[in-house]
Amino acid sequence: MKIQVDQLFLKQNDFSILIKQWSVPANSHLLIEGSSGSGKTSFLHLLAGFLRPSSGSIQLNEQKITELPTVDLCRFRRLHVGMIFQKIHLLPHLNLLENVILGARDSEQRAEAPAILEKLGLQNRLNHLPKELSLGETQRASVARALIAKPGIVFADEPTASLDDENADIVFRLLKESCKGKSLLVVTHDARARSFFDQSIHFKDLLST
Amino acid sequence: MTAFQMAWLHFKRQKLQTLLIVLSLTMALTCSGLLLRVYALSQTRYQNLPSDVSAILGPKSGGIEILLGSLNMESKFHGVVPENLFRSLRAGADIRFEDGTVVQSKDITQAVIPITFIGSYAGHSVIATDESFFSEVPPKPDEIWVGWQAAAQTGLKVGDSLAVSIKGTISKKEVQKTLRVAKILNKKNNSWDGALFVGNDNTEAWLLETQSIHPVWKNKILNYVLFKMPVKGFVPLQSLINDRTVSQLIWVEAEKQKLADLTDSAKDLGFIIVIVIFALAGFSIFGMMSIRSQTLRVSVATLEAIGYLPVYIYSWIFYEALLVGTCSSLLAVVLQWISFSFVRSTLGSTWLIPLAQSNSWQWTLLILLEGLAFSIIGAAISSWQMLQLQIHSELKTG
Repeated sequence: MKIQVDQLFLKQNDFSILIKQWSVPANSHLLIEGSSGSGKTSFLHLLAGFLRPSSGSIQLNEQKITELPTVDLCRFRRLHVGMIFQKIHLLPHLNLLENVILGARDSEQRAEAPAILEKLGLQNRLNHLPKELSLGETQRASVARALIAKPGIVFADEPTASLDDENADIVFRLLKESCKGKSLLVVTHDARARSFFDQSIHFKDLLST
Repeated sequence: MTAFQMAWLHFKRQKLQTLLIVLSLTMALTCSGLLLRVYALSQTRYQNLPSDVSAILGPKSGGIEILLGSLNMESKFHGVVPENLFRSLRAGADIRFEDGTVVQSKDITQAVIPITFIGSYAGHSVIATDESFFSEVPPKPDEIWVGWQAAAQTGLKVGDSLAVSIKGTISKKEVQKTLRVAKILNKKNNSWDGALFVGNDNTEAWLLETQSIHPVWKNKILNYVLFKMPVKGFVPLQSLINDRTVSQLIWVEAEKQKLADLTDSAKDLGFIIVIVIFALAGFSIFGMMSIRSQTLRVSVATLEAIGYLPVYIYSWIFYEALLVGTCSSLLAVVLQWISFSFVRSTLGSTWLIPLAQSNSWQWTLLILLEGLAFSIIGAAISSWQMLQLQIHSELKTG
């Protein structure tokens, strides 16, 4: 899925982002690095449509998501976008399997959930609630939730921020493998990510003055 | 996963949170429901006073006390009047007072009915009276007649034998007498429906047996005399009786009016309190639903972020409110069924409305509707709060 950003401006209190022109070709795997608090998460949320820009446009393939009303934006995300959150955000009252199934769009995808979780080494944790799992396990489950619907683009926000080397390795490999032939955009300040990505850019280089 | 499944899983798995909210709502609904029932019941308290009695002769006390003691059977210790006075009034004979005054009563009274509260059975008063009360031959000495409501509540039927606790007004001594139910009286729609009746044949003997002996009149006493009389006859008779005897004659309509005047202000206050408690229950529910939905903000933001439509979110909140509201309402209904008879009994009155009637399904339905309506309004408020939710902020800070 191709990303095109045009005259994007976001002003929030004493914080602003301005990107005049930027595009990412379809099916790219791109790492955006940057220090904490630099605005990476806000930028990713703009791309996913969680945050409306003050002005400018964002286009994913042919769809200008900045022009979509809220309901259509939700539908678009459901069909095309996979999202991995920095704070994981599994629903606390659902077990691991139910959380992953939340990302599925149909019964066929739902049926694949146990297999995906097995691939992530979580086959013995299907019926556990998030509070009963380790951070690494919940993060892997959130990756599964983002990938189960086979979206055209996956946005990952600090997917390995709280993980040890072993778990970080598992998550990056899984992301790379699952997103073959699809777009993957990872924002992180985790230096361990570099070895998994051919393309990387520093967030401050994206910003226009 | 459907919105209902989501609501059910949240309801079921957040055990402590769910338990606390359901219990809080149950208590709010129970309190408001109980108050409403008590208020409605209190409205009926004086509705069923017998209407065919014009005046009442009773021991000197307050007029309202005589009214409620005789016609509503509310007093536990009825005072006594001399039987001689009743006999004179009944006979239409001259009433001779100690100071030599003589009054002829036959022209001013149409019916004179003796009433003695001689005992009780299963919480119902047993009244000794004569043919003037029934307009027919009264129960025989070994018989008892049962008011319609008393029969309904005790399950008594014609031919049954029952042990009546005989207890005179003056003494505390109690004796048991076995009597046979000879008749179930037709419904009168007044307080007499809740009483049992015996003839006057045994009254004096039973008073003697229970040592209810007055220092002057011995066992020739009764509690009240009911009159049917024109108002023009009342005034001279009242003047004479009230001034010259230890008894007091009251005009029923006048005392009813006094009672209404006294209780109207209390009724208004009661109504205001009921409305306040009802509103309090409603606002408790709104508050609880709102707090509960606040704990869902991050989950809701997450669902929207992964593409769930707002209608799914609202349905989840709605179903959850329905689950909470239904459980709380059902629990409140059960609690009220259990507690209302106790609350009613503490009000210290012989209620004429049967328990089953004052605890009827209409009240149950009202509590259910109250719980559900307030829960749904609470869900609407929560949904409106969710509409204001910023996904970006919730995901970043949550």
